This record gives sequence, C-alpha cells and structure tokens, in this order.
Amino acid sequence: MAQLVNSAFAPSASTSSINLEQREEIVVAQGLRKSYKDFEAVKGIDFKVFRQECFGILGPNGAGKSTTIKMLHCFSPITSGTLQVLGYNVNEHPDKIKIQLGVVSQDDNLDADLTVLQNLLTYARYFALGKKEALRRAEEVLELFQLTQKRHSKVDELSGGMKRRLVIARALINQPRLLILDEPTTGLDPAARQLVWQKLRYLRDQGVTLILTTHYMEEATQLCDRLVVMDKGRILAEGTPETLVQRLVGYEVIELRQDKLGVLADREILNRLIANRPILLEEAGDTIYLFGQQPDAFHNLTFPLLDYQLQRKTGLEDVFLRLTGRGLNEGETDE
Amino acid sequence: MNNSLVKTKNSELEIPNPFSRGTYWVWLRNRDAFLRLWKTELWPPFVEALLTLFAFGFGLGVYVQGQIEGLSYLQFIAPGLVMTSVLFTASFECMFGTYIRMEYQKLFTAMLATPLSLSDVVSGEILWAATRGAFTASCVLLIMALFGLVGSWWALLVVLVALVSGFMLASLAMIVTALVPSINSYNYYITLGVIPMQLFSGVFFPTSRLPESFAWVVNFSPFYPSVKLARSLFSGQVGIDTVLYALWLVALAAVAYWLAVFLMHRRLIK
Repeated sequence: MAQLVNSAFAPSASTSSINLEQREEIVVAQGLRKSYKDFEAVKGIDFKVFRQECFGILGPNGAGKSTTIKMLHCFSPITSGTLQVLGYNVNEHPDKIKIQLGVVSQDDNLDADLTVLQNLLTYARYFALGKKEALRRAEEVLELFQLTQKRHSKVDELSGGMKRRLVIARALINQPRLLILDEPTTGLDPAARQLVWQKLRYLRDQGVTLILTTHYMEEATQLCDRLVVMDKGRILAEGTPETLVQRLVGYEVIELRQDKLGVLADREILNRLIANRPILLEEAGDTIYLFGQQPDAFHNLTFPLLDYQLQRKTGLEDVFLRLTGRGLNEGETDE
Repeated sequence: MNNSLVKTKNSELEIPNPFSRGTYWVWLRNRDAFLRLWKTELWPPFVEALLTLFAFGFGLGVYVQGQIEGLSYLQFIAPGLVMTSVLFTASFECMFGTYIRMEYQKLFTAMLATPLSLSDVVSGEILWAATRGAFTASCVLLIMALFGLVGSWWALLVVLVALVSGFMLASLAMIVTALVPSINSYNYYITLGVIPMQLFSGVFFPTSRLPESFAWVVNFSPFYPSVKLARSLFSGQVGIDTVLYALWLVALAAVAYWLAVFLMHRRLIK
C-alpha cells in the first residue's frame, strides 16, 4: 500500500510546492530522526513549513507527532538529520528559537498555585519581559481569549475550555512568530472547540505561523492549509486537505457493511460488480470501502441488499484511515 | 550528516549555575505561590519551635541532669533543633513539592518551553527550598533567643549556615527526586536518609557517646557539619574548626547540587 501511495502522490507534490518556494521558510526538517533507547519514534522525515500557514501533523497515537513537536521546540534533542526553526539550527541556537516560540502542550500545564493573571505574568518573566509590558500583554491576550473576567480566578475554577484558552493565551505572551500546538482541542466540547479554532484562524491571519498535531480530521479540515499524515515515524503523504482527499480517496465513497449471510464474503460478486470501474476497494474490519476515483465512478452501480450501505463524499477521515491502515493494525498502534 | 555524533547543544548539560537570571525567575515563581498561601505557610515554623522547646524543655530536659560540653541540655540541643527544621523543610520541599510540580502539575514542561534551561529550573527549585529552610531556621532562632538559649551574636550567622545547609539538603532531596519512580518511593529516603541524619548528627547527644565502632560513621552524615557549625555559632566558640566545617559544608553543597542538576537532566531531557 505504501508504494501505491507514493506513486499516487509524488508527481503533484512537486507541482503544488512550486508557488510556495518563494515564501519564507519557518521550519525545514531534513532526514529528521529520533531514537530512544529501544525504539525509533521518528524514522527520517522531511518537511517544510512556510510563513503564515497552518501546518498540520496528522497521525494515530504513536505515529511520532508529539516527538516531532518536542524536537521542534528544542525540548528533545534530535538523533540525526537537520532541523531548522525560524532560520536557526535547533542544535546550535535553541535560545534564539525558544524566545520567538509559543508552545501549547497536550496537557493543561497551568500553574494551579497562581491566579489566571499571575500565570501570564510569571510566564512573561521567563521571557525577560518587564513588569509593565508583561501586564499590558497579559491584558491583551486575556481580552483576545475572553478571559478578562476571570483574571483573578484560580486556575482550578476554570472550565476545560477556559483552561485550554489560557494555555494558548499564555503561549502568546512573548508574541511568538511560530505557535506550536500539540492536540489543542482534545477533550473539549464542540462549542469550546469552535472558539479555539476561531482564535487560531485569527492568529494566522495576524501573521503567526501555526503547527498543530491532531487526530481530529474535522480540526485539520477546518484549520490546516497544508498537512502531513504520519504513521509509525514516517510521513506517508503531504499536501493541502483538498488535494490529499482527491488524490488518495477520490470524490465519493461507498461503505458496505458485511451482512450476516456473508453475501459480501463472496468477494467474486463484488469484484465483478466493480470491475472496469475506477474504484478502489479497501476492507477494514467489518466494513468495505469503495473509493470512486472519478466523479462518475458509481454511475448505475447497485448492490445486493445489505445491512448497511452508505454513499457519501470523501473526506480527510478517509485519507487518514486509508493511509494509516484502519482497524487492521489496531493492535500495533496501541503500544 | 546521518551520524549519532551530531553535536546537540540543546541536550548538553550546561554548567549548572545557581546565580543565573533564570534561577531567580523560577525562585520568584515559588515565592509568589508561597505568598498566596502565606496564611497556611507562615505560622507553622513558629509553632513547631515552641512545641519542640516545650517537649524538650519541660519533658525530656527535666531528666537530663548535668552539662554536656559545658552546656545545659536545652542549650546543647537548641542549635541542632534549628538545623533540624532546615533538614525537614528543605528536604520535603524538594521531594514532595518538586515532585508535584514536576509530575502532577507538569510545570517543568511549561517552563522548559520558554528560554529557561533545565539548570535554571532545578536551581530555582533548590534555591527556593534553601530559602524556605533559612526562613524556618530564622523563626526557630528567634524563639530560641527569646527563651535565652542563644549565647552569642555569632548566632546571627546561623541564618547563613541554614541557607547553605538548606541548599545542600535540598540538592540531596533533588537527587532522590531525579531517581524515584513514584511519589511513594520517598519513604526510602525519609527512613534511610532524613531520619538517620536527624538522629546521628549530634543533634540530641554528642556523637562521642556512640559506640566507637559506629562513631566514625557520623562523619559521613552530610548533616553533621551543619549541626557543628550552628552549635559553635550559638555559643560563640568560633575557631579554625568552624572554618573547616564551613568549607566541608560548602563542598558537600556544591557536589550535591551538581549531581542533582545532572540527574534531573537525565530524567527530564529525552
């Protein structure tokens, strides 16, 4: 499958990046690797992130997303390859990088011993900001994230969504050029999520470059200008959400669920039905997915009556599941 | 380019420096958190000192007749009690306090995403624990003075000894924190480290009272020079051995501090 992906993907990758080359490179990773004692978390990846884009890193748990993020913000030393962030090599000038960086980690690592405002002021101090300037910026980010009312509250009194907003607000206190977010909306309710998304889009429009990891396809679709799909330490595909969807899963998909009588188990019937059509078949657990590679792929196609049958537009979810192998390797990804 | 010898400056252990700006910023964070809770944090040292004096003065002290090294029993143990308060304050701050900030609140991850270095974070924690130790010692010292147990103005220097001792003891606790797999594991250090240091460093009785075969072990107690120093400052009997004990203490503090930063680096940077 990997081969299929590469050949489907390779030609257009170069064309789509041509007009991006003129833009300022914020991150350049080449042959980037990270090994721990007994396993290799990132196995040689290459990617670039350009100014003012929102770049997504998608992948299942254990794909190497968080490890990549940690190397980007100079927390984890890289094992080999090169990594340039904001024009500096992470090995040589972590200080110069970190001062221009905002990091939103997966956990809400707020300071429960301090108030909301103190959290921001304390963080500002770590960036050597003076008191007056720190206060000005703190008020500014509180306003932006609609937390002004809560400035003297304890962190524990905030809702999950508010905590998340405060973590992001805190990451903005040094007016970073690059904001790195590790699963920014995990665990939030839909409304809280929408609000975070709005703010992130606003920041990008203000000129901030964003890098985020997520396993919510909706989030990637809503936010990312460009993304990579990672699995088991490798990048499987790269592109804009639309081109990835078109290239890898086509326009429409039909989901068929196995019936009890096993009609679908007789694969010959199915194969005969879709023969000579631009249709790609994928099986995952109890469901068969038929990806129509051209707009009219399913024209006049009918199936014997099944328990479950759904025809719908394709999305990033399909790309993600197809590339990372769906339920087939569930056991492996959970390590 | 693809070799493991690539120089990685961000992973290298910088020379630990307890006097950096970053150390001070981390120290300030802990001070702010402490001051928010001052109502619960400020009075215990005073009360503890009073309770201890009460127990030893009217309780145990009554049974101890005669003099030890020319001092009454209460006078003898007073400097040791000041130092014991440092032992417990500084050790516990860098055990449970640091562990909670590191593992439960994940504060270190947040700090290390800023220009702060690992050495800044660890040094700030240790320096704060030392400060708390010195503060507690000052409270106890004040109570002791009020009860007439301090015989010399030299005793003011006990605050400085408390600060350096606190720094050393906090560093020892930090070494343990760098090694423990869970918060329950501190029991080992408390039982085999803190308590023996309290009991066998000459706080409650002169170490010469120990069986000869055991007495030499006391010299290995890192807490021993602190107690010795405090006692000579309390009575004003300051001499060349005072200087030697002070040098010993500073050396212990330096080694423990360096090891603490090194091991915390190993624990956190992966």
